[in-house]
Amino acid sequence: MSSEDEMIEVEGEEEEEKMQPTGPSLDDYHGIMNRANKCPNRHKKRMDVAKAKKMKAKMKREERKRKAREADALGEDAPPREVPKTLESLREFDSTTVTPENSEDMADDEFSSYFAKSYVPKVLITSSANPNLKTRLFLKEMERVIPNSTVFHRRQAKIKNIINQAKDHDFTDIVVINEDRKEPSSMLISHLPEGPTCFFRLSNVKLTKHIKRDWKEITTHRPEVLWSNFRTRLGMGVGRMFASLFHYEPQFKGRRIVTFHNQRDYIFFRHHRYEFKKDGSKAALRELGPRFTLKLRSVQKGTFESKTGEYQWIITNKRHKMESSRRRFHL
Amino acid sequence: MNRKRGNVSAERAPKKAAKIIPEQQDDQDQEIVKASESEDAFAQSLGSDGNSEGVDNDTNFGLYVGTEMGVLKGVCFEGGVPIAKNYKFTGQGLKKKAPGVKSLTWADQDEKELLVCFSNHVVKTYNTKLKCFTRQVQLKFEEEDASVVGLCSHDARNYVVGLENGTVGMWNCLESEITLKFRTYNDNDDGLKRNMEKIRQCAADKSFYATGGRENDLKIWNLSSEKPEEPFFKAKNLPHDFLDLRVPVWIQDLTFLPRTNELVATCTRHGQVRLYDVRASQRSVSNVQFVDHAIMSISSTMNDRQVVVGTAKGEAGLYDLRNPGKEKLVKKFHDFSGSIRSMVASPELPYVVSCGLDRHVYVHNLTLRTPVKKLYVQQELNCIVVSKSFTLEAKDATRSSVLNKRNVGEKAEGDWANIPPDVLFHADSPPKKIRKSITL
Repeated sequence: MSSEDEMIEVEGEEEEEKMQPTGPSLDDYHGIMNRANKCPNRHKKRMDVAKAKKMKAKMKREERKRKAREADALGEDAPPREVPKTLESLREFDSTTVTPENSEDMADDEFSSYFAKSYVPKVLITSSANPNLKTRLFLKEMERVIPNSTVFHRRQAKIKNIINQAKDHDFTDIVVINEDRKEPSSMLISHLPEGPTCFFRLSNVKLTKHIKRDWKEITTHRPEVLWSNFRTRLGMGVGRMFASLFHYEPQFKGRRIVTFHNQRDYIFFRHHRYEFKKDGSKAALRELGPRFTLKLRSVQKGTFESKTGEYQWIITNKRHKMESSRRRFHL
Repeated sequence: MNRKRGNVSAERAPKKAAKIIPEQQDDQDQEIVKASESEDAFAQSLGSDGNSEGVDNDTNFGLYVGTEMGVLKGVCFEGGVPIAKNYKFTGQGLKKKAPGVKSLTWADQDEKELLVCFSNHVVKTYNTKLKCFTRQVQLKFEEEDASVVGLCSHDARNYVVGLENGTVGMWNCLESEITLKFRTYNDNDDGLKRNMEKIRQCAADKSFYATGGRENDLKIWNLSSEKPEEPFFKAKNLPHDFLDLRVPVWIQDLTFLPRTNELVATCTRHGQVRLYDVRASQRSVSNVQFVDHAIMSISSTMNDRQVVVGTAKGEAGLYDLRNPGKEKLVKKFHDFSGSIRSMVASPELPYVVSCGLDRHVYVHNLTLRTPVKKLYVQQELNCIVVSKSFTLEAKDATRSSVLNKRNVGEKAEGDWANIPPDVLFHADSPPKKIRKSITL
């Protein structure tokens, strides 16, 4: 950069400062960036870009400070804090979003008898044919999480046969964990006797020992179930299915809570023990494990029937058609 | 027999004139009063409770859908915002395990009455003008636990009913009894599960019916013949496969091709689309594998040998079956996310409406992949029926006068032609012309 240029620039900035005492503006930033883009000298270009970025960061900092000062001065009349724009908050409108007027068949779906507390859930948990250690431990932990559940060794049984036998033995749901490369990879939940059947991709499975907890911390009290952020009709169906795996009356003495939280179509499972502090501050949480993430692949009408069955919703083979936008979510 | 030879496109009737408003506003009230007197009297004599609360008489419902929970819904795409309205026979809330609507059929050519058939053998008559249910009939079949799979109106007094266990019966409304009853298959002890999935009536000749189901291959029946229990046509299964094993049969849906009673297209739970020609052979003349999962619905279209099919995983396509061995997938339709249980294509215009387990009603143009209209109707849907007054445009006075002027002198029979052409085909992108085929 020649000395003449610098002089001119400095003069220019001084003039602007005289006119606007607030400091550099966005126009200055764009001016410098434009000049940098046209500059053939790479070293100079980098210097200019770094300078412009620094200037922009400073402007942002000062703007934030100014707003804080204004808010302090105004007190209660201050404008509300801006909510950050996330993919979730900008999600595309979905006509199937459940509202009180928009939920005709919710009261009469397959889970309505559970929510009417007409039966106690009894869950069968099994895996693929020859599970590896991690899957076997995972099954055991799921048995501890879900009350009134039993783990069965699958051996070579077919799912359709398991379902028929489970119906005879009054099971209300079956859970099948499949594995891939020695890791639990998918979860199939089927509600008996009439379905539906949900298939999930299972990822990030962390067992109790991986989060450095002892399974003896998990009591046998029936947990509370929290399923949150399911918005659409499809999501409500899935959430209701999770809820119907657990007993409808939690034992609050155990202070156990199981969470299924939906965030951008990924369902996060967490298992905690909570404690209300005596001073009335925020409840303390201690994670018990396991933890895992689910992603819905398909919802089938009726029980498991992969070849000739009917699907209520399926994303396989048409993900690019259905996930047309980053802001479109199905649950 | 309604066999056509030569160029069908020349013989086809000219495009029907547009009829925008089915009833004139002035005499509508009078008509309703008249109709309601007679209908109510009839309804009372049958001891039914037709309700008409909250009905807007101006709304012209072009589409009706029947849901899995036993609710009839009218759908109106006219104007800016689509409307869906529920019609329930009783005023009570939705009951647990309510019988689902299994079939929707027009009772007559004028489409004044819609026959709504429930799985528990109840047939209710919905009057489209009064917008309420007027009659209820309980079919008295011995097989009470077998669900109804289809109901067709044979003539003004007789319904033809198909049951899941393979029974076909003709119900006489006046005498309230079954006048004809036969089984479409025999129960053998070969360990195969059998049932009937569908019964369809031939549009060209109302006395012809086709049935099919699981291990129950296609049969065509002529119910006005001397021996209605004898099938007019009986399909033969495919030859054994390359391992010399029997090919399983599971017909899910079937349709007669337009203007004939000799060509039937079927779709199977194993993903095949088949075309049967009565004149050619007992075996299918065309057999094509569309997908590896179940195909749930099939419908003939305005193009003679083209059918639309919809599958259990929400795929839909237009198939060309003109050349045996050279069947062609013409188009695939998008936007479905679940099983397509019912598709109905217009016999006159390039349009198909469909519904299914994803709780939406779709209207597709045969030349476009994306739906022209789509509506969320909150419940899982079983069947769909289209009225002749179906239109996508609002009943606009100026527009109707323009259209009336344009069609002066033409016979104003209502049909799908009421959809104005510029709405039909996206105005800026005219559709590709589909070659019209020639029947044999």
